[in-house]
Amino acid sequence: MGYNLQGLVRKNAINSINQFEKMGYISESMSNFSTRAYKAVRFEEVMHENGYASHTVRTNHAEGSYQTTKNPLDVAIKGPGFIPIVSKSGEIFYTRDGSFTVDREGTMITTAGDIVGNGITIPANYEKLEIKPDGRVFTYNTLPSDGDYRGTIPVVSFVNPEGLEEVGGNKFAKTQDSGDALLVTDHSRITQYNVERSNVDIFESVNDVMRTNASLLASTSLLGVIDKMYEKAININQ
Amino acid sequence: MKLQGGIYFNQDGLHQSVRAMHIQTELMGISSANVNGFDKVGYQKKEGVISSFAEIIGIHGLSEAVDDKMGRIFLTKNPLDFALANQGYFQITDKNGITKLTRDGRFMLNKEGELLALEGQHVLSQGGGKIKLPFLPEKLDEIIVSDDGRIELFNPKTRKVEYVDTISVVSSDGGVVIDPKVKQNYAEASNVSLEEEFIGMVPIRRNFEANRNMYMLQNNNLTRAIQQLGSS
Repeated sequence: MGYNLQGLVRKNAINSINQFEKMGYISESMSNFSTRAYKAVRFEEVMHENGYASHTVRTNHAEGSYQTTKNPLDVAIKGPGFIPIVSKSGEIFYTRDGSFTVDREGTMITTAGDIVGNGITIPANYEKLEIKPDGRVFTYNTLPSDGDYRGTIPVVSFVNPEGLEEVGGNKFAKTQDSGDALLVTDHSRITQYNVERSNVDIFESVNDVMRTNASLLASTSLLGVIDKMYEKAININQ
Repeated sequence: MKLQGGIYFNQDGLHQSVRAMHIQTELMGISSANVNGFDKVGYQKKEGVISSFAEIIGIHGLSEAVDDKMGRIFLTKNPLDFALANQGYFQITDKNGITKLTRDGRFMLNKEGELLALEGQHVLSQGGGKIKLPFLPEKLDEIIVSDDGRIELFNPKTRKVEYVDTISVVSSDGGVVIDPKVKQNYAEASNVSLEEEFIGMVPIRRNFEANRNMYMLQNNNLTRAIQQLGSS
């Protein structure tokens, strides 16, 4: 109760602006549909008793589906966890995008150029490269032979992955809310010749677009209706 | 006031028209709130109820009623999204200890394992306390919530599903809902139907315009009466 026309115009304008913003986040998720290991974002609005809605952006950390590849440096994490990577400026980030490559020194890097783990150097000439389910990397010069151990791709987990901050480029940074990274030992989550696909549900996104669009259109057209009423109330003697 | 020819002029008519316009503005506000709440999770439609004598007491004759019918339930696939497929509310408590009822069942965990609403309020259990998981699961789908609101958690050490707590679901008067039908992985959109709102707004606008015209007519008549009586 206690509505006035000025307040109504404002509420509808704010709702329209919010919905525009929501559209932006939905299109961010949709446009990353084929980004490897992308985690969909969700724009959640909370309605308050006073008629205004606030919003938070959440990341959905559910697993995506997996796709096999022919590249020996493609690894996917099956199950929870992240691979720590070190950027050129020395910051530590976490990613699930395991489509790795090597730089000219032979160091294993991500597609963005960040170093995997604490640096795994792979020589140029090998017959076969094997990444074990626990993340150990072996190269074989002649087959059959015992492989040479080159390093381990570490896997870490967080008590609260939802608290991680998305920093762009398919990377996450730890925050107060996520807790510290805990090294997972004795696991078998790494699978070679696999990449994780995004967890964007295209049908859900389309449904979201339609719902948001309906709200957006309704609010803007209501804005027009209330504006006419407002005008008539002001010009009551004409 | 008795005019020439024995016709009584309704002195209160102008006020009545203004009151009616005020009521229509408020009704418009309720419709507008419903339209804005259309896609908001857990929003419940409001309805304006006009009592008798509203033409005299004006805006005081209007009250708001909440439509507590269930809204549209949609799949979110988030194990911490809960929808109530029955009438009832979750209880959430903010930092100041103020408890509110809500049908918005989109919850999250903090790193201590406490179940929180989206703005950080604690979700209450049937015992009236905070809901806290003994440890945080590696995957959210290891949390299982059944129809009656019982939260269970898979313990990898014992390889068993262990009971944690029960979410409190109450009716609007505070009584416990026996069969709340808590649906995990779903959220509830509002129970607003947009077409109903927009159709319902047509008579509100027309009533507003009619009262505005009545006001202008009476105003004209009064002006004329004053001028004619004053000039004689």
